[in-house]
Amino acid sequence: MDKQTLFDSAEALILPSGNTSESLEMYADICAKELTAVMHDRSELQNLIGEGNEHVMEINHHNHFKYIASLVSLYDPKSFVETVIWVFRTYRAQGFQVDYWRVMLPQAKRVLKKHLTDGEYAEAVIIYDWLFNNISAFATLSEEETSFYEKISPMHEG
Amino acid sequence: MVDTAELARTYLDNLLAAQRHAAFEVVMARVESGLPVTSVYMEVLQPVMYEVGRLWQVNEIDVPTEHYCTAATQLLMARLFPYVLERKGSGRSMVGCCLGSELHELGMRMVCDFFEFEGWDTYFMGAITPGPGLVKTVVERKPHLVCLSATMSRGVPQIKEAIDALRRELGDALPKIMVGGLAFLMNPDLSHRVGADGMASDARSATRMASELVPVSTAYA
Repeated sequence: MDKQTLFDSAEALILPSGNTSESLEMYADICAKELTAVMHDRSELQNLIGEGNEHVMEINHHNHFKYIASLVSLYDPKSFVETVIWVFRTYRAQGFQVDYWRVMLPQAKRVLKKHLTDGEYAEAVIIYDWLFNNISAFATLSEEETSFYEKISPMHEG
Repeated sequence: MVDTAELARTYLDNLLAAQRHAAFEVVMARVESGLPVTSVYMEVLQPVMYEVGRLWQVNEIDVPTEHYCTAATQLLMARLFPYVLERKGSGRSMVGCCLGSELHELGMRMVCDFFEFEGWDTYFMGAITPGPGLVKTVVERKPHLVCLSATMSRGVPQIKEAIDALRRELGDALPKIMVGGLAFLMNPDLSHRVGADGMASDARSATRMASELVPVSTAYA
């Protein structure tokens, strides 16, 4: 799947309401802590994130929930797709495996379900299901393309 | 004629080798030989900082190294100030900052320096500025222009929120607002969505756009 197809698909998503964004922001810190705890309990964690990357994972969880909150408050499909490509490239360069997101995203949903109302959760889950269903596409794109933030460097010979 | 691409590479290589003094010496020697400070900013420091960001992203350098390079560049920028022939008294003022969660302030610092070089009175508030703090500052200082920067896309809604707050507070007295940073370069349409009057891609184009948004005659109106 190419980037334009991902843009078109992201553009077709039905966006969560303002209330969902506020709740996502409000619960971001606690959700990050709970997600980190859940992931720490996984016996295969080192295989998912690489040796010594627990602190990087913790930071990612914090940034993840804050980012999702900001995404739904001002939704831009183009930035969304470019940012996820950047996330995949950056964290994979650190040693994270693609399977990390296959495990992390469903766990993030479970954590959110504990804190959001049924209506808010139903809205937020649209984003998560789209991300989960496109993990392979992002994995491939993150291998085949440099991210926007890398392309901006005129000193890069590549 | 100075090959600024080569100068940028030498500057970067010295920083990555933790040779800050050597990095500074090579740039200062060129400036003392006549290379404009504005060219140093645009053709050396900006490309180097983008490359430092890229090297961190691909895990070729770690966070401490990235911070070292950034801090060194901020120090060099301070040393370059006496070498600029500032234009005085444009009569215009601006406030510049990075809001909320935005940590990446070097680009906005460059923008504010360029405005200073052009004779603007500048008020640089740096990174992670609270939105209410920006509103209070703008109400008190009454600048002609507010410049807001976001490197990561998470900063864009924070900018919109601040612009909405400024609009509610100031109404017709709202100053012109310009946005910039990589989040807006990624999708320039976002500048309209946040309610800005303009978007600039770098420090030099920011001052050019500002001259259109806030002509000198406006300052004395």
